[in-house]
Amino acid sequence: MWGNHRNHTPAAPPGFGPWGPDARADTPNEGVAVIEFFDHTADLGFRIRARSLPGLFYLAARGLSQALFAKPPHKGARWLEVRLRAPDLETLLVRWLGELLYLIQTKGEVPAGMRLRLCRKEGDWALQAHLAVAPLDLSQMGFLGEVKGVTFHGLSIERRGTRYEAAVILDV
Amino acid sequence: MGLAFEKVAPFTYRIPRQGKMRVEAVFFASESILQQLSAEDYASLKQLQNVATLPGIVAPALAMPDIHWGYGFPIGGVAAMDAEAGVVSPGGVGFDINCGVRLLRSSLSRAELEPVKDKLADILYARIPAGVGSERRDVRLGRKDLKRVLLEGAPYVIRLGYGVDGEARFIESGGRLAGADPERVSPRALERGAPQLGTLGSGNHFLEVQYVDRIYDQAAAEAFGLFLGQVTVLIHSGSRGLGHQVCQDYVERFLARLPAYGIELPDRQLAAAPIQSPDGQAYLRAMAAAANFAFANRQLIAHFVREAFETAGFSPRDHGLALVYDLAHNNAKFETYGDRRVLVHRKGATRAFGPGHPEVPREYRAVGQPVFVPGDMGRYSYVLAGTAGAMAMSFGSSCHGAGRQLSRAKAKKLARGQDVARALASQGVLVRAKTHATILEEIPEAYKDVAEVVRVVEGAGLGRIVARLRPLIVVKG
Repeated sequence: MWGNHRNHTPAAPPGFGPWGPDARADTPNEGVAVIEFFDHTADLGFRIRARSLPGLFYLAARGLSQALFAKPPHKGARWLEVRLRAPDLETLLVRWLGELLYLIQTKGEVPAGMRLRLCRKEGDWALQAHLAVAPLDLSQMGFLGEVKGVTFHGLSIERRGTRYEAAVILDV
Repeated sequence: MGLAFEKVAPFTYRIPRQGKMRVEAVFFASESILQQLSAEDYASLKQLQNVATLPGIVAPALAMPDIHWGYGFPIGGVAAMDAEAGVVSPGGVGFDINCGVRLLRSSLSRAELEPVKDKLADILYARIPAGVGSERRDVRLGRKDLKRVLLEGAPYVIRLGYGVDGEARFIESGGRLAGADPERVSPRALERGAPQLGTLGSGNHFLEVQYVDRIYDQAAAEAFGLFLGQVTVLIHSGSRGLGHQVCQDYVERFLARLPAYGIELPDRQLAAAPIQSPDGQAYLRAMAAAANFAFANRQLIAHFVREAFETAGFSPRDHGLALVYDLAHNNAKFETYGDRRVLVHRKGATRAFGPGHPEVPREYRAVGQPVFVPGDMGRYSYVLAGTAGAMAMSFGSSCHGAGRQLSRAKAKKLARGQDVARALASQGVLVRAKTHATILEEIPEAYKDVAEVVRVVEGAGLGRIVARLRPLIVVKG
């Protein structure tokens, strides 16, 4: 099992706000970070662009959240920590979204905010996330449909100038 | 960007070998399907070309007429790999391992059902959990029992009382794929699957109560026990979170091992390992376990359908619900064609064995294996029979559905402002769904006309149209 969760005390980690300061420094309002859903006949795809890797992973989480819910929660009831490692960034992104899917669809824990950290560790990429999670409420959150999995199809994380970009296709 | 292909037979097109393709590709289409493929810039046919680059593929790489753009493999793709020298690709099976459809026939006529249709729709919706994270509270199997489900599939849950003695032989492979090993399934996959046994799932999964509105082949319809005006039930579901996790686990595992096996891929979702390698064998054992879970899942759903009919006021003798057949459209199976043993990947394609095949139940052997082709919730679905043509041309495969023509976003946009459920009710179709979004995404216009798809299947010789079924009640996640 590659996921590693730890329950937190109810108090937020220092400097932690809804969807996290790391990510909020790179929000769409600043004209840099973008989530664009694109047409995929059978499944669901979105492109993301951000100024930092944590920003990109944050947007991927938001993209997944928007794929699942019309009204994703903005306030968490408790905190979780997720730690993941992968040999490359694309695998880390797939594991990250897979982990969130597991939390949402199996554990009923919907991320409402997060703080992310990425670094290289012994040749791997490592991600540490603090998640504020809310209990799954299908009607309140406007559930849009199940996501079966996160694909590697056409997935590559590229740096273009000052931005990181990726396109994610979900099996729905 | 165009794509070079040529017509080689009625409804049959060939893409010659080019680039890194190891074999040629063949697809089946009509003029209108060709136009749809062109409109998507042949994205799905390019995926078929990618499939043709996989090591050990036996000619040709194939796509059924419901082909559409998937991930890795196109939906509707069929690839036979040499059992000794070929590879197995979890992406060629898909996330929803052994997703499939099961048809139940009843002794009831449409007229007998009409007075209780509303009530039955509500009972079905209440008894069969559908949407995300849906869990059955009345089926709680311990870890030991769950592992037996993975090992033994549908026959195990029939023995527990969820079915009728002897009906497993009307399930593809007897409802149990050999070689399953629960120890090859990750703890997370087991955790995801455990509470979902006997649940439908969301998206395009459904349960439909229908009636037979047209018979095209009387002899085959009689063999399948179908008659005009008869009430039937079609169930579409798969291996739920358990299968999804098995796919995810093994795609990642195979990607890490690609350099060791010297496999180069045009698309990482095609991740593959040699069939005879420890990795390949481990996936096949885990996949078989997930497939058995899916067979058991549809078996349980059918059991609760029977119970729902009884709650609605029909005794078992009255409703007479019996299994016509249960078949899969997402798996990889060892089969023999001529003197060659191959592993046939079917991703959104149905096994369609022709008359005389020993794996077809003896009651159907003279006419061929039943093949079910769901359409959309507003129009119709079809029952076909497998043919000798499918055995000769498509590794015993046929189509699996209508195929989407609109993305979910486009479907929702088209449906905006419409009361889809009310419009369907006015046509006599009652819809019960967990979410409004699902109804919008699944509007009839989102799908190709399945009549065109089965016309191509029959025209190309891959199947014979037997009967048409129209929906009365639709339950969706």
